[in-house]
Amino acid sequence: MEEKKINLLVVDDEESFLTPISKRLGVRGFNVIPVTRGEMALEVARQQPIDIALVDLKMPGMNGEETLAALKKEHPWMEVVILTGHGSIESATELAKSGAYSYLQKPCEMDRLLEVLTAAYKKKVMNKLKIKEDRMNELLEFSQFGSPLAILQKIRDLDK
Amino acid sequence: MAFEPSETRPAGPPAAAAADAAAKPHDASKERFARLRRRLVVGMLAAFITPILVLSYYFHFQLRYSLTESGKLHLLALAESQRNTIDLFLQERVFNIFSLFYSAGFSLRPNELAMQTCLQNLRQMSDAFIDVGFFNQSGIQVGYAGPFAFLHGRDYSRETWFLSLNQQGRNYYISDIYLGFRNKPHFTIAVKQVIDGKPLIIRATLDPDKFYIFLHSISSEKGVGSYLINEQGYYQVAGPELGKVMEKSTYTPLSRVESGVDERSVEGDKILKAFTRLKETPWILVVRQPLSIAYARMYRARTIIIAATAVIIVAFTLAIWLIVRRLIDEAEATAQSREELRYQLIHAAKLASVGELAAGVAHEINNPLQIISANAGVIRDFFDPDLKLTPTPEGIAAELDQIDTAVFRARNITKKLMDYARKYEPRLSRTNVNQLLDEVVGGLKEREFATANIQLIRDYDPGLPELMLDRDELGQVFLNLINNAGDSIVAAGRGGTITLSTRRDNEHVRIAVMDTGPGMEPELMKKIFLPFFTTREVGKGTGLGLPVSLSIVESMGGAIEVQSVPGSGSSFTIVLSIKNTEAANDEDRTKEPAAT
Repeated sequence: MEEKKINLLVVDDEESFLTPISKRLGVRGFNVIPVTRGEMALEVARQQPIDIALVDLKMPGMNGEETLAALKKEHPWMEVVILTGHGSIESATELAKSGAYSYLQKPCEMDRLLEVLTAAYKKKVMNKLKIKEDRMNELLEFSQFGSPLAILQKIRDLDK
Repeated sequence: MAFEPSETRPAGPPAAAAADAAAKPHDASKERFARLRRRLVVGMLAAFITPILVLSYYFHFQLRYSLTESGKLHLLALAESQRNTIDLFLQERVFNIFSLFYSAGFSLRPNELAMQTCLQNLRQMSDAFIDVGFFNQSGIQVGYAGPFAFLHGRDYSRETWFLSLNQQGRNYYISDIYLGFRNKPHFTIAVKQVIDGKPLIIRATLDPDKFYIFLHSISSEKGVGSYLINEQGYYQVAGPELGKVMEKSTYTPLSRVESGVDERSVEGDKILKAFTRLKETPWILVVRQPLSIAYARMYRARTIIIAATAVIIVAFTLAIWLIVRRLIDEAEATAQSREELRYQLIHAAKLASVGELAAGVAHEINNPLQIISANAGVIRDFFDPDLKLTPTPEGIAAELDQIDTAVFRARNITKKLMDYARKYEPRLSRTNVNQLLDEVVGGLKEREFATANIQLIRDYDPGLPELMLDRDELGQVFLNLINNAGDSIVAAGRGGTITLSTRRDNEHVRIAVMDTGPGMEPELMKKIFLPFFTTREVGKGTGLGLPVSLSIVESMGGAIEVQSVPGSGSSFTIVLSIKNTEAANDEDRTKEPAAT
């Protein structure tokens, strides 16, 4: 069975970052759609189904907060993770209120990124399928030593 | 940050030129303070000393008047008291002679012995008596006792005293000094008594010298000399140093005034003379005292006033000089510390801006870092067994190139930060303003504006002269104004235009940054140069950009003009004086190879 890839929208004005991160996430089972502007992100989200979004805060034009708010408004199931080069506790809580799933600081280790993306995707699936969390864990037979990739695999299977 | 500070900084001569440029305002200010010091001292001295001099002169004047008056009055009182004593003396002598008429053994035809007795009596009363004589009504001296025996029997009927005595009502007569038959100066007291209807006269003569001794004894005050003159001014009784008896004195007192006092000059010495008329004789008592003694108190007071005034003036001068020196030293120190504060403000503003940039810097540096991390991660993925990828040398090399690029980018940013924060003295170099403007907006800034929908218009004066100034500082000012313009347009939200224009205007160079932002109300315009005033949100601006820019421009001898129309936009114009900043011609060229 063809594996379904997770549709990940990455929004960052830094092209030199988009390219390698797309490559790395691409080989880990994500269908990465890189865009450099918030407005472009909205356009793409309207045209294709997007599961999770990874959004940078500081961008010219529409900035990260505005993009987050707009995406959440138009696509309530989509989970948005904020990835930013600067920040503080206040901004983190503000973003959480606006609907961000999580908040990561650059530069970020791949494992941590993967962990957060996985959790975001899990939440998305949960919400979509209206499954409670403990039931979800049961379904996943969640194990401490399972690699994020494997977990991702299992969630994807559920999501079909 | 698109603005690059100049890379090469030649040390030596330009630094010296910069030091000179810094020294020039310092010297000017030192000279200004020296001038201020002089003016203050002179002004305060004049202000203090003039009233003191006026007052002390006034006091001296008043004092002199009152003390000399008191000296005069004192001498006059002395004269009058002496006069009373003299009058009394004469009255006593008259009485002495009177009493002869009533003494025991008085007879109408006195013999020698009787006369001798009379003389003895008289001489007991006063040793001024020389002789005594008894006269019958025809004026013949029928009785005589005294040193001039030849006078016995003389006819005095035509003598003045005899005639006067017989004619006048008063029964005694005192004569002036005269030589008489004996040819020696003497004066006469003659007393007339009518006995049995016949006028009888007893007359005694007195020695003026002895009278003088008496006179001398009653003037006991220092420096006082007294003498007697008659109405015509002839000495009657006088000491040898004062005048020769029977000679005319140079002093003629006021007639018709009973007593008086005035200053005279006798042989170059100033003398105070008081005169008063005797009652018993038509003589005038003259009492003299040298001014130096009569006015001694006044002289002493005057000396004290002058000395005190001099001391006060010296003391004041010293005090004023010390006070002014202290004040000016403080003022100089304050001015200097203000200059230092100004430098520190610029420096602090830079550091604060660095703080402001910290957030931006975290982003600026984190971006390259994440790129490096991501690229390194791609390489790692190539060798991850789980992922089953096929690495190629070209693929790896490509990632490594990306890493290098990011590293250089980060290094540039840190370097710019360091340059920005480093404190340095203004370093002057020949600057083409148009070029500097282009540098500041060039590259990143221009693209930023483009993406923000801000159009950039350049309107440069091609004939703008090169100016001697610190490129980095002026560049910082440009960046500040341009950023403000950009931010105000972005805040309005609808895009706009920034116009950079340069113009030469006689003595000045005008560099204007105009924006089509929302503009400012007059109230706001007043505040924008206040330190720490900002219209941005908390944490997004230090409020130091404009104050520091203003400070920099002012330290170049220039100014910033602001115009704004709410709704249309604002314009900030840097005005620099060509004189202050003109690139000096040949000296500079030889000192400094092109540093730009």
